[in-house]
Amino acid sequence: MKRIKRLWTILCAAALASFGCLFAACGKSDVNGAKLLENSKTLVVIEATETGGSLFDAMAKLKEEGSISFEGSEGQYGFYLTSVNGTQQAADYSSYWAVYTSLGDYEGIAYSNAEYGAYPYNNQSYASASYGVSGLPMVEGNCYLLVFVS
Amino acid sequence: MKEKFGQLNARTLTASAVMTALLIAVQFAFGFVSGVELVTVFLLSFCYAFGALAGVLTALSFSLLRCFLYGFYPNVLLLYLLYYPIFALCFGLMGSKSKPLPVWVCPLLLTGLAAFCGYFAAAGVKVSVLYQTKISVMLWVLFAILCALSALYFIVLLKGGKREREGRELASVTALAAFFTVCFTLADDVISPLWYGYSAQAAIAYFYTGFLAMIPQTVCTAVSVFLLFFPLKKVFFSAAKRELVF
Repeated sequence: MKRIKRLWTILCAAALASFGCLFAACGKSDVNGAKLLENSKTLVVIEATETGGSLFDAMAKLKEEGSISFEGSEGQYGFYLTSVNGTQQAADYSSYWAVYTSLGDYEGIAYSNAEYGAYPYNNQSYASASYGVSGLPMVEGNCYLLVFVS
Repeated sequence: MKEKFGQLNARTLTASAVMTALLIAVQFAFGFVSGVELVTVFLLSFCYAFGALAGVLTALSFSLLRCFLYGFYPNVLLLYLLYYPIFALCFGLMGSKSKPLPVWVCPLLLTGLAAFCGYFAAAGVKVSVLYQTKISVMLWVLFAILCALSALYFIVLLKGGKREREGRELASVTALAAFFTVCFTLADDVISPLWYGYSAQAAIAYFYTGFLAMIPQTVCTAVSVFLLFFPLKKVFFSAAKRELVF
């Protein structure tokens, strides 16, 4: 009897622990191919866990999930971000959303360049992206930073 | 007193002021529509009708006043102040001549532009993998438009008659407008890297990224000028009190 009670207690504890892990995982989103490492009103960091699609596609999935929110418009250089997580760019462009990434040269194309600007995060320097969010491919292992510059 | 064409009088100054406002409104209105720009066809037609002086004045005013809407960025301001007055001067002088451009000008421009498009369409443009197909398709579309324009030019030349001068004028203006639109982006590819002190590698990457704007704008220019030049010319000639002569 005592053994059964002990076994039952262990099983319940294990079940509770796995439920706890499930809810804890909701704090940091991991949609198909993208993992949200940081999510605030002035900084969003997305890591590509798979290669495929664009940063915009990953952001759209995260938005669908409810992890982030963003607004913008389509332009000649792709989707132009005007607001992320409720933080809107200034009307006179004195503050705006910039994209930085660890993705440098990929398949012969340069996707970022430190000459355009750099942003330090987690003891690493991320170069300013050469394209907007719809022009940056998600490449596994690379991080993409949306930084509110003011 | 009979007004002399190209003279800076009250009518011309008023027209320049109104045209400046119209250009800013057109640029703002179509700024939300990707790939569409109508500033070229409007300014071109205005300069053709009112002459180089009014055109250059309008170009300078437009280049400076648009900064209140879009911000004062030195490299952009420099590009606009360099490009638009030259554009206005060219089409203003073209419009003041009673004779059309020499026969060889249009084919030369069209061949040069078509060769440019064909080369990059075949060789590929070093842009993001996500844009390569789109850019390639647009380059081939522009190549096709330029070839069609060349064919139209030669058909019109061979046919002769009343429509010959009209056709030559339209083809020449369209070819020149497309050429200028390409030059706009190429000028930016020189000015911006120099202004920001980019390395050669960064400047080359900037050149390739420029295709994303250059190609749709050039397609838009070629189509809009081809379709709207004659109607706008009629309107502006009427405003300038000039007689339409073909």
